[in-house]
Amino acid sequence: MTSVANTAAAPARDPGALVDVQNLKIHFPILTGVFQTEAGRVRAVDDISFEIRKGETLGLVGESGCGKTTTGRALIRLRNPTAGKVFFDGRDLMSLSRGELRRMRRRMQIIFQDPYGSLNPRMTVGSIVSEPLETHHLSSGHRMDRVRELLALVGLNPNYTNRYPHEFSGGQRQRIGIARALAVEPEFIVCDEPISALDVSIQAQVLNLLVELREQFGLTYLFIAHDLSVVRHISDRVGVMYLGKLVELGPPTAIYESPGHPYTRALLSAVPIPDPKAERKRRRVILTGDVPSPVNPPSGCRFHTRCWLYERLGRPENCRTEDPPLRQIGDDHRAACHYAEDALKSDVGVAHLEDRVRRGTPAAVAARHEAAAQAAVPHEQGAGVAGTGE
Amino acid sequence: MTLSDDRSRLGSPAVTELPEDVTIATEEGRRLAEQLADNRRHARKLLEVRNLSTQFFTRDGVVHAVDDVSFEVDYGETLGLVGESGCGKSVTALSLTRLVPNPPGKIVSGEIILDGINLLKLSSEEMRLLRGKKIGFIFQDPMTSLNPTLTIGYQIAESARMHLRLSRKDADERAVELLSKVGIPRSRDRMRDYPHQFSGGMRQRVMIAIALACDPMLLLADEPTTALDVTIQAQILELIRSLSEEFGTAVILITHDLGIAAGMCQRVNVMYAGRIVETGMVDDIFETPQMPYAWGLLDSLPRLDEQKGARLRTIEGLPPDLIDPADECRFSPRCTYARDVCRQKEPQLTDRVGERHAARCWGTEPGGWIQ
Repeated sequence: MTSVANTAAAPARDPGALVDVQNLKIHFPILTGVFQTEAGRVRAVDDISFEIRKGETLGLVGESGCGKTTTGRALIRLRNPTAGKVFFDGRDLMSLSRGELRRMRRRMQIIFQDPYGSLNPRMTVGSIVSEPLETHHLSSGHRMDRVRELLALVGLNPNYTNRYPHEFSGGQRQRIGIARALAVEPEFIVCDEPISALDVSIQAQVLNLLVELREQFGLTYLFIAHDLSVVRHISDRVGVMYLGKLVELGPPTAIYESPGHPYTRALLSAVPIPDPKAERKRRRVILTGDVPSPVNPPSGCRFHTRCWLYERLGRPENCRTEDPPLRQIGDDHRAACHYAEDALKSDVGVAHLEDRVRRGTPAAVAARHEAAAQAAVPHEQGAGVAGTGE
Repeated sequence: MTLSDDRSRLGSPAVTELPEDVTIATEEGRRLAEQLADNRRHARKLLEVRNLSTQFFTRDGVVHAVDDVSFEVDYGETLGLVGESGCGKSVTALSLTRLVPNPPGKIVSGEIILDGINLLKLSSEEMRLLRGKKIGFIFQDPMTSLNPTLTIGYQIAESARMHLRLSRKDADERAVELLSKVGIPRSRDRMRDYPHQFSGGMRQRVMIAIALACDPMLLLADEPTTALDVTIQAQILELIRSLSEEFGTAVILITHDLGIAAGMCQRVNVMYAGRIVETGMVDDIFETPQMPYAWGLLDSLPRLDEQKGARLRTIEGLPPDLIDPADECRFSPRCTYARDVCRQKEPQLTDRVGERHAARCWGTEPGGWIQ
């Protein structure tokens, strides 16, 4: 893979990149007083660079306030960067005219976290899903057919076009949001915590749908989530953010099995595993204190105030003074830590993979049941998921 | 921790419940309750919930939110109550503290016996005295469960003043001690701070300090970490675990996160549609669950210790409407193994292999068709 230069911005470093983010900074001014003078800045995203390759799913994880949502919005220019560039398919999004941007937006869509707040309660499902078609002058003449097709695609009853969002459950609403995003046949979708507001059994349904659609349409996803298990399940590569910085980036095997940043290790060790025996076996680090304020981030490495490795290494000075660049530490694996090699050697936080069947349905029962189902009529998958509006 | 010694020394309990005509408002009643408490301790049960039903009387009909639920909590044990939203786990918690909003909610039947006292027979004044003293609780949202107009110190000391009848000075001292116990630095200075000056994790620590102010026997934690980030969640869970060990406090941990239940609890009740559908020791529940709903939940979870997976097996459909549930297994409409018998009669919780392991499923009963 191409090595990463942290400063110089040359477009399309990675020829396979659909989205190329270079030194992106998004700061929010804090205005006070009658004259609205700037009292400080929230450094929500502070100089991050990465790329999303065509057809891949990049997972972006981090705790609240780390800047992952802000980053996601900047990638489709719902937020203007303070500095830095975002290239989509080789074109700088900031340099586009209004008309060009509008045409470009057809290629990029977003699915929001909140299935309640992101659908207009006064609009019918039909008008919600057809709105992007109108905006982009698509499917004129047979728009309602297209809407029905889209609803069926996301597993909703196509006859529900005249219903209102409140008649649907959370999972069904999220499907409506997905249908709306798919309406314009985008290439790239920012999925901003698309399942975190849903119940466990419904989460899996929506997650499966996103995977199916990705395969069917060759979509590229930026999958933003705080749930590391979900991100591992869906992602081809994973980026970890902390306090406005991208601290680690790599394939899931690297991130989850040999993470090179102490924060990633701490984050992993905090995730509960639904298996009491695995839980008892783990070596945890419990971070002390809260995430510092992004208005006044710590000097040097932003994580040093909570870093267990920093303590273990006897508080080396460069952690306090030098901001570590995101550097190559393995195959397609980058981390922003002066002592990433030491972190790699540790076994802190890693949940060891074990060869075994997934818990839950006993293997014998599942096998017999599947055999019986095969023998019976092979049933159609996809359409006709229980459509119970209250 | 010393309870096991006590247990062996105590004689066999003759009576275990307070007679109906005695209340703890009298000296005699209190003494009797103490004695009964000892008897209960001998029986290892801190809390017994029997046939609890809580209903909500709405315009659309009667919602059977908690339907004939029975379970017990041992002294010092951590019991998990897991399930999806609407399964009745939070209403169970509200019922235990008798905080079900009334109207529309009402505990229509059952017994809740805490340390020998039937909570449902207490007057609301007696219940008020008991809440906070014997049961401490932590709720999901640390933003709204603290009073924004009072200092943190006042809110912690209030409970100690009221229940333990400490003087203002002593109560403040206790509050300082509790704050440092729950890991708040510079606790003496922070006593004068207001809730908005604390972060989410810190507020939850304050809630824990309030809950533990009177050394309760039972801590009721309703989704205590759902609003928090995962590293903060780990801190809070660790705190609950270490404090419950230190004080021997039993914990009822209500959560939708099976991972949290796996790491924190000794025993787990799985709830679905107002019923307990499976109960057992944590290892049995996670390794040899006996109910297709529990299988489905575990199957549908992506796991941290698993490579990028194939399609997740899901539970199709939605949980049932709890207005007038039919006499059928409530999971049967979503169950891929269901047979006619499941739709004709609801199964009972019956014993399974393993200590205190029981499940509500026709198919996995001995001789059933799912083996």
